[in-house]
Amino acid sequence: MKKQHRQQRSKGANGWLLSTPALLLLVFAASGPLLIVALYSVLEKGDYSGVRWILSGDGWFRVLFERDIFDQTVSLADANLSIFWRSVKLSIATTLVTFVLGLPTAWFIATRPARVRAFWLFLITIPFWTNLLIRTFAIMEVVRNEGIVNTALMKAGLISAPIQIMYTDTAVLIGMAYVYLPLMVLPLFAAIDRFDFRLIEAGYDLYASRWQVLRGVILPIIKPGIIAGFILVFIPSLGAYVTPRLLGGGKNMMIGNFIELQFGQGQNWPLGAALSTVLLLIVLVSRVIYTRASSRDNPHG
Amino acid sequence: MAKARSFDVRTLPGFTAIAILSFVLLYAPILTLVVYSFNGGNSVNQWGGFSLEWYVVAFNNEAVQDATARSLIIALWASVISTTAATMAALGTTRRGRFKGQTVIYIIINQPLMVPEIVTAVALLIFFSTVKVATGYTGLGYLILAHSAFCIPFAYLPIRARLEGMDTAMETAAADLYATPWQTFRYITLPLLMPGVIAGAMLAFIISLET
Repeated sequence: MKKQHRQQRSKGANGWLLSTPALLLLVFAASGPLLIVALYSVLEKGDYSGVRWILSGDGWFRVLFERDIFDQTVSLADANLSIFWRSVKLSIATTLVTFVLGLPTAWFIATRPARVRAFWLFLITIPFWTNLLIRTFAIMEVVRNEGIVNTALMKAGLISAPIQIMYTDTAVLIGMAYVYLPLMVLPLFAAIDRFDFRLIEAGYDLYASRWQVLRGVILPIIKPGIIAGFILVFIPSLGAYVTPRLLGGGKNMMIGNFIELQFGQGQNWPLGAALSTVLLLIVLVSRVIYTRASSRDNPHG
Repeated sequence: MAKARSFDVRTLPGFTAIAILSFVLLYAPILTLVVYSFNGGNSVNQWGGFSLEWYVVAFNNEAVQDATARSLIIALWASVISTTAATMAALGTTRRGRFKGQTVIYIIINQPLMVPEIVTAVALLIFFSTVKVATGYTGLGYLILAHSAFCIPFAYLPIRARLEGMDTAMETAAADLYATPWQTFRYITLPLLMPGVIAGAMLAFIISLET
């Protein structure tokens, strides 16, 4: 009994010991900096950039409110709210678009014969390993005024002047959906791959229509994969800043660009740090929801 | 009649068409970019004939050379460091049952995957600008450190997957034959683990190279 207990403890000690290099690196270069961000959010803004070491709630205050320069009245910061709203809206739209394209794609891959399935899966992952910047530039070539879509439409005589897609929310949506599509397909594929197709037969035998089979049998069973895909696309969309900056231009900002602005021209590090913390909290809450949802469906995983 | 012939429970109407569309959408922009890199003219609107001119320009550009060399050095170091740390952590956290604090280790290791990119960028900017002022060291060291930390989960996950699928019988046999723990690791565990380690190292290298 006692020996077993000691063994148990040495197991744990070894586990910690072996993990130490990884943990040290991560705490030093990943967790530590995050704590410093949280700390900076409650300090006072420096004159040009950086912070003064005085406690202040101004960074957090300015996340939602603004103070009039002349009469000091406090009002909601409309500009910030519209940026939050645009970020959430675009991220939800991106998630839905990738789901509509991703579900049939994952289904298509999972129903291929086993020997070619790996090939199709590989095709999905290649763009994923291509640099984000390159993929965004590729989309730019497609949607800009002199780009492929407009040139083709004009040559075909369908339009006389190019449609302005660049620097609109639509361009950002197209870009983000393009960039994050593989992140939706992969978890959906994993879920469909484990799917027992006899259940569909059973559904059809019981006179279900195709739509009923999809709604009543397939979607509930692959739900963990759907939730995983939603989270995997929604979180990076919300924090994206490269794609919205290149495709949306300076005017159509998302939270990521707004944060970047505070550390650059805005020179308000505390506000930027507070915004980063808010974004981080949103992500953590969605992670908790995800973990809850997936552990309810699969108590052993 | 046609329905009776081709009715397959695995097909859903429109799914294949949308899937093909997805693949086309994924590849068309990248292929265009690749094709136009061989363009002789300097605008995407006109095709000036096939030419390697832009590659010559890129390779002869000193800034491009420096940047490429720097990226490779950082990626090489980062993948070596992160894979070593990740292998140790994977050995420490698998196949020994549950122990106290395991969840904490998982959370810390997977943290870089969960934090949005802009928050990571901002956090590192603040942190290293403070450290730079404090120590006076400005060099690749910071980048290598940050990349190593960021790549750990990408190396850890495939290695752990490989370890979890591995049988412990061989190691038990080695221990029975009086192999020291190090010998067991060097001649039994590591060779068996190699595919996972290579996959992890390659992932870490790619991730580091493109960040």
